[in-house]
Parts: sequence; structure tokens; C-alpha cells
Amino acid sequence: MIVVGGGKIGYHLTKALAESGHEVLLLEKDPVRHRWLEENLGAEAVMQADGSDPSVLEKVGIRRASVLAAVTGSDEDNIIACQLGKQFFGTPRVVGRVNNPKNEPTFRLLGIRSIINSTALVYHLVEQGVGVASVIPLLALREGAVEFVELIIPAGSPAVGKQLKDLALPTETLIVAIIRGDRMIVPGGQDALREDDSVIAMTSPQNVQKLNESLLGA
Amino acid sequence: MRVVIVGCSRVGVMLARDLAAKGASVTVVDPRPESQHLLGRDVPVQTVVGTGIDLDVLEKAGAGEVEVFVALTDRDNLNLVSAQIAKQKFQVPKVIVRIYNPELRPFSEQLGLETYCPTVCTTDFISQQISGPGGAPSCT
Repeated sequence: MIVVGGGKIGYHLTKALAESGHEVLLLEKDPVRHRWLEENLGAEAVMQADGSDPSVLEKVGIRRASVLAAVTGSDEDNIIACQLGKQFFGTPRVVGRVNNPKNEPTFRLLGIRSIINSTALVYHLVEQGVGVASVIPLLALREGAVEFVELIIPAGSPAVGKQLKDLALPTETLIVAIIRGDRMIVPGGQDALREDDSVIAMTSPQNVQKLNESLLGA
Repeated sequence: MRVVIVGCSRVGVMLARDLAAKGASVTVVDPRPESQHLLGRDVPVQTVVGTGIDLDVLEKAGAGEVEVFVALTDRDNLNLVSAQIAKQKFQVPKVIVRIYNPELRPFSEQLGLETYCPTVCTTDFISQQISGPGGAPSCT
């Protein structure tokens, strides 16, 4: 995996991926920042180079890479790095960070579908009017038509003890997984939710509020 | 002929003035408000203050109605993104881009952009000067 951009996001992303056992290389072009990253991630994990330069990507093995994540603070650099990965080198998955939300349409116009837009994430939370702690948006696919959210079932939730098939869930909604302690359960209709369960659900944006009410009683 | 130039660089200024003097309708996009001053008041060149990857700015500059779009900022990636927007969103027939990094030329050409690389041209010129005439000038 190749991560372009060694700022806070790039650093934490690389650290997390490496700790999960993935082979990951972080590219950072600023020499001072690179030195810090080397000290904190190890010299094998970081390289001082411009990840939006095709010869650099070629040199670090982009043709073998399964993922390229462009998370620099410059939208145009992220776009070009992603495009080089996807269109020029055939990288199976590319992810681009959008700094200025105004540029999101440009990312999509130029063929980058997997996007990280933290401003949009926060905006979503605020717009939906749900408490920050209750519904956590995880991923939006297909221009936001499909949303994955995470909810933690509180004590006193109307859903506790009821089988999933008996819950009043909104349409276009599926409970994809229940995380109970350190177990992941792919639920069937007979499974029942318990307090403190973490529920991963797939739904449409319009139904997030109703899902919230069904599971959290808000 | 209608032209949008992104980047009020030295080349941008000279090109804008040149084209305007020949009767073209030219608009220059640049984030610096003093661009109009750089262009001079003696030729009819419009300016729009903003960055060349902002869809609204390009719309305002009339990118949807021009025959030629030239990306001339000093940042290759900015030029490539701006040029692609011109080609894909605004369907500009002729999109020209200046790229300093010769390694980006194949990609730029793959995108259908007319690509000019000063690094290659300058090197070619100097090599010619050193080795004397006789070699074919490449400069692309």
C-alpha cells in the first residue's frame, strides 16, 4: 500500500496500517517532515519523495500496490496522485482526501470515487441533527446514496431484547453487523440486540433519523 | 477567438497581450488581485480572481464558451487538473498545458492535452548550442 502525504492523516494512517500487518510505504516530500516521520515510523516505512510524480511511483512499486491513498494537504496533488495510480498504473483501489469541500465535484469529475472529506462528515452529523455520540457515519458510497453508520445501543433502547425481525426498522435498511465485545456477528432475523452492542447498519441518508429512533429511542 | 488562460505568469501575461492584440477575447484567471495590473490597461484582457481548479471561477471566466484553454501556473498538478476540467466539464476543443516535469508528459498526453515541457525544450536548445547545428530539434 502506498500513502502519499505525511501530515497528520498520512502519519496515523500509515501507523495503523503497519500495526495491522499491512505492507505500507509513506511518501513525504518535505525533508524536515520526512526526518520526523522516519524517527516515528521507522526508515523502512517512509521515503522522501513526491508521490504525485510518476517516476517516483514507478520506483516504489506502484504496479504491485493494491491501494494508493493520497492524503496531502493539496487537492490537486491528491487528484493527480490518484489519477496516476488508477489511470496510468492500474492500481486497483485509490482513495483521495478532499481538503476544500468545494473541490469534491472535481475529484468525482476526474474519476476518483473513493473520497475522504472530513468537512462533509462533520457537516452531515450537524445536518442530521443527531447527537455526536449516537450515530457515527462510516462511509458514503455512490455519491452518498448508500450510507454505512455505526450506532451503540444504549440502556433503555426500544431495540434491546427484541429480535431483529421484529424491530421497526425503516425501509432500505440492513443491519450488516453487530459487534459485541470483541466478536463480530453477522445477524439473522432471530438475533436480538443487547445494551452496548455496536451496530453497523447500511441505509439511505433519508432514513438515518428513523434508524436512530428505532435503535436508540431518540 | 475566445481564450481562457489560467495563471498570470510571465508567459501568461505575454500570451494574453499577444492574443488580445490580434483580436482574441482573452480572460486570465489568477488568485492574485493585482493580475489586471500585470496585464496592463492598454489591451482588452479580462481577469477573474480565483484559482483555476474552482469550477465556479472557471464558469465565471467563460470556460464553457471558449475555443482555447491554456493552463500556465507554475504548478504542474494544478495545470493538469485545471486543464482536465476544461476538457471534461467545459468541453473546450483545444486545451494546452505547460508541464515542467518531463515524467508527466506521457500521462498528460494520455489525457488528450497539448503538452509543452519547457524543461525538455530548454535542454534541447542548450544542447544544440553546445554541439552546434546538425541535429533535428525535438522540443516536444
